[in-house]
Parts: sequence; C-alpha cells; structure tokens
Amino acid sequence: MPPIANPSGVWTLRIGGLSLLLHRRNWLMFGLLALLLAGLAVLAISLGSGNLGVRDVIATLAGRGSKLQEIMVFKLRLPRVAAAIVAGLAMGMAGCLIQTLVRNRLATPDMIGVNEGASLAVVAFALYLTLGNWPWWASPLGALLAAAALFALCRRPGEQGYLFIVIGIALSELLGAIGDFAMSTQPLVHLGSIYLWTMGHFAGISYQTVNPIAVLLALLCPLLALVNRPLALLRFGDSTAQNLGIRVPAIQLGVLALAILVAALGTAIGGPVVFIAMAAPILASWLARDNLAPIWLSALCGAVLLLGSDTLVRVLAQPEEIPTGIMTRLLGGILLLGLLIKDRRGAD
Amino acid sequence: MPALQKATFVAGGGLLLVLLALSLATGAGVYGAESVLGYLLGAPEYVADDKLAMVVDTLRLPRTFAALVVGASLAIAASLLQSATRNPLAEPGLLGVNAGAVLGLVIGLIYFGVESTQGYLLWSALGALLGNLVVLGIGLMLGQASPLKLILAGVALGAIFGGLANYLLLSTRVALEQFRFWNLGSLSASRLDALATVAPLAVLGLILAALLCRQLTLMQMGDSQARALGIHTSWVRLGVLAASTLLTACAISLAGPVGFVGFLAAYCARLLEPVALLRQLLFSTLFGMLFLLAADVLARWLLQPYELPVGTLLAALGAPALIVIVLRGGFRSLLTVR
Repeated sequence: MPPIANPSGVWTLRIGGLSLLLHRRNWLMFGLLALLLAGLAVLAISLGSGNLGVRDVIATLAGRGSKLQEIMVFKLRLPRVAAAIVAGLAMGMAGCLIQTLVRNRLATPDMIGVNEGASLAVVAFALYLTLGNWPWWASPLGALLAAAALFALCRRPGEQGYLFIVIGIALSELLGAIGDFAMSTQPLVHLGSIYLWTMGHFAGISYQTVNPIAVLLALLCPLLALVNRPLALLRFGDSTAQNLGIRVPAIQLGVLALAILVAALGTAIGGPVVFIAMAAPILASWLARDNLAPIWLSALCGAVLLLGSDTLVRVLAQPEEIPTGIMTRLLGGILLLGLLIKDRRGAD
Repeated sequence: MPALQKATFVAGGGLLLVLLALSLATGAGVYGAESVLGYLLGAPEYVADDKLAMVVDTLRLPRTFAALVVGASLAIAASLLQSATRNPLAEPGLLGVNAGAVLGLVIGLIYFGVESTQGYLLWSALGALLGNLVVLGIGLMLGQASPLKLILAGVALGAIFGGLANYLLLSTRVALEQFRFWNLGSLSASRLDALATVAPLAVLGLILAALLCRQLTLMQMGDSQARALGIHTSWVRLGVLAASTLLTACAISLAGPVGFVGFLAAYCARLLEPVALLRQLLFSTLFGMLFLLAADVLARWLLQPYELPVGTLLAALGAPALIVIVLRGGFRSLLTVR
C-alpha cells in the first residue's frame, strides 16, 4: 500500500475510501470568530439603559432570569441583536460571492447598486401600498432588476476592473435619487422610520421580519456550500476552470443569482448598511488560508462587524437613535480610501 | 473662435434668456409671465399688487438668481478641478468636496451656533478647503493614469465626510426636516440678502479662475514643461485651491450639496473646447447656469403641487450621463491635450 500523503496544516477525515481535508487554520479561525460573535452578542444585550449585567444576560438566556429581565432580553434587546447578526451574515456571504466572481475586491453589492435596488423596492412598497407589515419580501425583486441593468451595461465585469465599479456607483446614485424622489413627496412625520431605514437602521425591528429571512438564508446555505468549490476554482480564470471540468457560464450565473438573493435578504432587514459586504471578505481572506473563497468565515466576519458597529453606535449616541449605516459609512470610507492608496501603483 | 463654438454660445445665450423667463413665470402662485414682467418693468397696475410683489421678490427672483450663481460656481469649480487633477471626470460633488463643505457647515451649526450667511459661507469654505486639499493630494498621489480610481477615492471621502456630518446632526436633534431637504440640494429657500452676500464672492472666485487660465492651460503639458516656461506651478495650484474652495462654498451655502451639474457642464465645455482653458471656463459657466436653471424649472413643474429637490433631479439625470460617458470611454481621449 502506498503511503498516504498528508498535506501540512490540514486535518484529514477518512471514511472508507473517502477523505475530507479540513484546513486547520480556517476551522480555528471559524471557532474563534464564533466565540467572538457570541461574546459580542451577550455584551450587546447587556449594554443600554437599565441595569443588566453580562451575568444576568447569560442567566436569562439560560432560562433563569426574572420576568423583567426576560422582557428586556427577549423582547427589547435580542431582536435587534439577532437582526444585526442575520443581516451581517448575509452581507458577508454576498460580498464574498460577488468579489470572488468578479475578481475585484471593490465589487460588492453595496457598491454596485444591488443593495440600493433592494431598498428602493422595499421603500416603494412601504410608501405606496399600506400593507401593515414591513414589505421585506420586495427586496429580491429590486435587487434582481438593479443587477440585470448593471450586467446589461457591463458584459464582462471581470475584465473591466474599476470601470465596472464606477458604473455601479453611478447606478447606485441613480437608484438613490429615485428613492429620494419617492420620499420627497411625503412629509417627514409619515416617513420617519422609513427615512432612517434607508440609511441602515436596526432599531425597532421585530421577529416578524428577522425570522422568515433567517429561515430563507438557512435554506440557501446548502446551495452556497455546493457552489463554494467551483467558485474557488473560477478564481484561476475561466479557461483553467473549464479545463478542470467546471461548467463556467452555468456556475457564474448560479453564483450571481445566489449572491443577489442573499444580498437582497440582508438589505431587507436593516436597510442598505454600506461597506460591511466589502470589509467582511477582506478581513476573512486575511484570516483564512488563501485557497478557497472563504464564504463562511466572511459571513461570520460580516456578523461581527455589523453587530460591533450597531453596538458602538448605540453606546456612543445614547440617548439618541443614530442609524447604524452612518457608522459603517464612516468606517468603511476610511477602509476604501486605504485600499485605494495601497493600490495606487496599479492603473485602472 | 470656431463656428461651432460661436453657434453654441449664441444658442446657449438665447436659451438662458428663455429659461430665465420660464423660471420667473413658473412656481407657487397664480402669476404668469405677463404679470411678472409687468412688475419687473414697473408697470403701475402690477406694482400695486402686494401679493405679486411678495411672490416675485421673495420666491421667484431670489431662486432664479441663486440658480445662476450656484450653477456657474459649481461649473467653474468643476472645470478647475478637472484641470488641476488632469481628470475629465472630476467635479466637487463626485469627489467629495461638497460633502466636506456640508460637514464644515454642520460643525459650524452645531458647535458654533452659526446663523448668518457669512457664517455659513465661512464654515462651508473651511470644509470645502479640507475636501479640496485631500482630493488634490490624492489626485497627485494616484497620478494621471487612473481617472476612475479618483472617483472611487471621492466616493470614500464622501462617505467619511457625509457619515460624520449625519452623525453630528442626528446626535444633536437639529431640525431634521429642514436639513433633509437642504441636504438633497434645493434652491427653494433662497433669499435676496443671502445672495447679496454670496454673489460678490462668487464673482471674485470667477475672476481668480480667469486669471489662472493661461498658466493652467500650459500646465496641461505636465509640470516640468510648465516650469520650463516660467510658471510657478505651486502658486498656480494654490490659486486653483483658493478659487475652487471659494466657489464651492458659495454654492453650498446657498443651495446645499448639488451634484453632477458641475460635472455635466465642465465635461460638455471640455468636449467643445479641449485646450484653451479661458474659453472652456466661459462655456462651462454658461452650461452650468443653463443646466441648473433648467433643472430647477423642471423640479418645480414636474410633480406639482409637490416640489422636488433640484439636487435629486440632477442626480437622476446626471448618473445615466456618467454611465454613458464611462462606458464609451470617451473621457480617455480628453486626458491629454490633443
């Protein structure tokens, strides 16, 4: 029997003739990030008005809290924290998918107008149809339309680099202007929460919005796992991937559709929170071994970043309510500027 | 002047007159062109009408003049930025300078209780100066090879400045309603006394820009060439910085951040006259006034009885134009002197 090669940095799981490679560093990072996210969530629940220590939160979550503590944790704080986590997970995944597909770090749903399309659709439904519930289900419609427009304009985004991004930014401006159009016909008293939502706001979100989106995302996860490997191979270029037995156009279209759907669901919760989808995959690829598209790491990074920003803005701005999107805009702008300056030698 | 330019100039001038008349004749109030003209010419039966006097003096006249001043200022600022960064896509709105001016104004409002037009001007000028310094610095750093990257840097700056400004505003409960409309860019709150303060400074900026034209034209060939011709390039850059800051501040303190008008005007002017900057500035000014006035008339007329913020309308028209220009790649041929 020939000796079995054991690559370094990898755990191998052998079941009969099958062996599964688990990249040690990826899994360690995944565990660490999950711990960090859990800790951050407990901290986020305990912060705010009212006396609620970290220990009380853990006790209440374990089912040993007082009535008041239960109301505070489950009715007031947890929905917001859950909303931020679910939205962050979705944004992290969507950003990673599109970045890898287009082979451009700046190509994320929030830069190329997909998020703006999603939020425009939601705002339009919320303004012109009185439905009672928050029309989160409208978001994939808007996102798909925006993406269709973008890809009709740019046929080969992988080769267009900055051009693709600038077209996407112009498209975002256009969609944003249309949203402002729609909103400027209404007085602010009617708009209030919608206006804040368009800047990315997580206050007052109910389980009615978060739960169905979380379920949908969970249903999409197996599909994501399925495209993960071919997507990683696509990074070597279309022809190489073709030679490795991948049906390139079909995979590209599938990944794109998945990414748009996930991005739209992420936007539907708290509005278009910008730059999370750009920062999360970059952070994930620093943490991970650089051999796969780190979808899951990126998702966790997105959740950590978004929950962190939301908690930060809540604590800093007390007692006022400031949209989370404003904080991510500020921090993300600095990140984008840094990336551009670092990349200054390359022409576009 | 070639025939095309002459024809454009005459046609543009004629169109400007038509738009001026339209702008004075449309808007809230039942008065048409005839009564407004009668009032302005001092016909006794119209002058006696108090309501007409109110409509013309406090609503239509200030807003029409404001459109001229703001359009011209932003267009010249955009032309100057295009020359200084050697980037035909540059303009104060896209590059984040407008956002810087807004941030300055917000800081003045919140921490220094500014209420006068002079105060608005001063603080938005400080903000615009910051924005211009950063943008010109990044422009020099990125070099001429990357016009698209500069736009992305502008997006980043806009996000930073805009995020800060919004944060400050929302955390201090300044009247959100008023700021929201102003922040989208609107001419509806223009007043004659504010115009009287701002207009002379805008003219000063215009004169400064005109004085710099010859040097800037030569600097298109590159800094070393220009220096060999005896031009003090750093002084010229400083002048551009001052003029562009002054003009942006004038526009912002009157109308809020109005994007895309400078870009459209300066780009069209550059298409018409790619080399001689003085002539380019002339056309840019004309186009800026034309575009903003036309957009403002449209904003009043489109969704009656509502009124659109003119900045939103311009973004809705300007963004597709930017898409077409970038896609067709025509801007690359404007990068160097032909």
